[in-house]
Amino acid sequence: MATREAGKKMIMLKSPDGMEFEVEEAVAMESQTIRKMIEDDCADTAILIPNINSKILSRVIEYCNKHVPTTGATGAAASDTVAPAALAEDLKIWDAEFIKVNRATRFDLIQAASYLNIKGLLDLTSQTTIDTISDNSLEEIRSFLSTKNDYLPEEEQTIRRENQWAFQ
Amino acid sequence: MAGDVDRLSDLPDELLLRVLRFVPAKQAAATPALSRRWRSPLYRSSGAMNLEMFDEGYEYDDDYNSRYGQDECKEAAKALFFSRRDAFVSAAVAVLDAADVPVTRLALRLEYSYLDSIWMFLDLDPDRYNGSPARDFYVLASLLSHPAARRVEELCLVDVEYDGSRGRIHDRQEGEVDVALSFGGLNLRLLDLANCCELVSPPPAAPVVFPRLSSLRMGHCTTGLDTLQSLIDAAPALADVCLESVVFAQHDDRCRPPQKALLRFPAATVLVLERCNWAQKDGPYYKYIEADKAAAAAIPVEIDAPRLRCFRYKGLLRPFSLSPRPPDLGHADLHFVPRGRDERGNKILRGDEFNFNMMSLGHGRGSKTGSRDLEPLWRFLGNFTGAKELKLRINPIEDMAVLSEARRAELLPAFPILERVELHGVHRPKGRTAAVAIGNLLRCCPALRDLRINLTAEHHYPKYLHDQDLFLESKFRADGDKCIHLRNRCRVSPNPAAVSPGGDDGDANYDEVSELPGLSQRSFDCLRSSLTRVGLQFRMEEEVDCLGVRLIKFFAENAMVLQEMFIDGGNGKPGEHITGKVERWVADSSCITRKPGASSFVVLPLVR
Repeated sequence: MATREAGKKMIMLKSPDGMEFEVEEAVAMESQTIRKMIEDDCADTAILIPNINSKILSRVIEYCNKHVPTTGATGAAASDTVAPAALAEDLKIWDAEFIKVNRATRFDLIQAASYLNIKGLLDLTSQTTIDTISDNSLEEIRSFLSTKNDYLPEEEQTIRRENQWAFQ
Repeated sequence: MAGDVDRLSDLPDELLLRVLRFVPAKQAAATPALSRRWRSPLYRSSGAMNLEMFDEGYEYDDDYNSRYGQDECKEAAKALFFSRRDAFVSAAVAVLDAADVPVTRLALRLEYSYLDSIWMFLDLDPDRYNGSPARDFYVLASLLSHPAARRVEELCLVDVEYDGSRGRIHDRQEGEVDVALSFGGLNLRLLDLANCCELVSPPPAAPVVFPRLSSLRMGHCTTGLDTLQSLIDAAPALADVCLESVVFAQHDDRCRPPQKALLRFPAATVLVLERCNWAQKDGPYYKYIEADKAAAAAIPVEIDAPRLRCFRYKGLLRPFSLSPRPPDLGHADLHFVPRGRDERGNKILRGDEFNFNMMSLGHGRGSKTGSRDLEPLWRFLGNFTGAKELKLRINPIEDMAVLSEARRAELLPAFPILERVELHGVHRPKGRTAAVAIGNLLRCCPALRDLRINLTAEHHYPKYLHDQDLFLESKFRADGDKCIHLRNRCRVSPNPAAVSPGGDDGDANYDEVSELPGLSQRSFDCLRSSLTRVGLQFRMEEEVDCLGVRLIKFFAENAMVLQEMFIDGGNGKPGEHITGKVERWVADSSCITRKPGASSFVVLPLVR
């Protein structure tokens, strides 16, 4: 279904489980890590993306595809979805749908976004993660972060006094 | 539950801190009490501050009221507010004092009930609060002048409790001042203002204040046109501007609204103007009926953005020009919100489009409105003749139909390189005039390759307005019924000519589908040489002979190089039944006659 425009440079991304993804260079360059590789001419053939399995990588590519700031009738037009341009509201709604994943996937996406250095995706995954704890008590944050309280009671009192503002 | 535990603490510290940038300052300040690993406060090292202030107001009981009277109560509320604000500021400064790394993101989320606009929170000096607040920009100044905040790149200001009293600009007292954005913003890249009323920006004579600011978002803000302009002028690298529900208000109510609103965005590549309103007369926030029709016309807008590549507009149809034409403007997304009329034919200057449509549809929309809007509409579109993609939403679609050939020659622009068009709109049941509108569009686009049309029949629309959920529910139920009904009918009286071999669910009588005079009798360049993909989304009618089906027939017969036709006839599962039917129609030469030399094409369900 995808009709590729002539003159669009394509990049091959390989996941460690052997899957290959052909993406437009502009899409791949949403990742600052890949951008650097391309700019340093290290991307002649396929780029192996270590540590990111094909399931997560395909989602990351999906994200980049949506967020790539091209405005012409390029790859995104072939997907038969709405306009490809970076229009804030549409993107926000799209992002909200995109990030409706379980915690394990979100965790993998955080790591992938960090490794590939995709600011928007890292912000999105982080904000979503934080939103799940924002209103909770200290105890809940503690379990959220899998941290055990290893203070002595009097130590904890001191700390609470130091940061009194936070506990009002 | 075990599988659902977040493995956040497995993350390396650096990445964990990056994730925790979004923790509100208060929680972030509490983290040292978590455990020894967290002994050093989070905000010291995450480089982000998310400050929230919540002031739930002050409830006086009757007892208090009777004892102290109203003035004392006001005083008490004021004192309480200022003490909370001072606590907020000193806490924020303490957080900044403690930061080990420069703060790059600063978000202020304010929720309060005592004061009614954000500038009061940010500016007000308690000692001088007696109707003439000071211009010392107290809060922002104290935060942004802090050494740790010198490198703030992202600044978000959100006024949470936006109570809808948007007409406040009318009640302004002389001498009131606005939120100043004249703080130093040397490193600022993103400025995000939500629900902020009454902004002022740096004085016009100021040097470049925001050398790196690339992204400006304003939502539900009120500002003067000059004010916004001087903000833009102070940010020479501003590439991305999104103005949503911004009201450009006059500072002086006694002045007539300007003849024309001009905005310059010298560096902008993406511009979004959504539900923005120029001057008071535009609505939607000002609910009065204007008898003088000339004065009621929407303010003409002129945009000077030579580097624009992508433009989105949602709002009233108005005289609009992009001057000079941006050479790289490739993508335009235009959504025209109709003006309404009341029973007496007076314009109602309320921008609430849903109410509008309900009224205009309920009382039958005369073609007079359409013809009067024709010229501004096509002139508006004429700004985008260099575009490759155009998305257009217009209700009703008939509003863009130019009926006479002479008028067509006069009004229709040419879009020589437009390749992809998406048209959404509501149409009248017979669809004859809507077909003319679609024909007009085809005529303008000789290089069109990909066309998508999303149609809603007028009688389906008002349901949607009443209650969206109800509509969706009934829509799917009704569509299910319809499929069964169609099948039943076909079984009872099968038309031997239309039943194709192997078709077990029969077929509607395709001979019933009539031609569309506005389209069928004409020839269009794009149909001969470029249109390869057509997508049609509509709701299948009881009557098979509806506009959507007629368009299928039209494109199937006339698009010579068509390769793919995407169809969604509004069934619960998109396109499931209709695509099969259309395939059979196409295969059966008695239904659809492809012209000699036409390519073959496939019919696919349209994926929403």
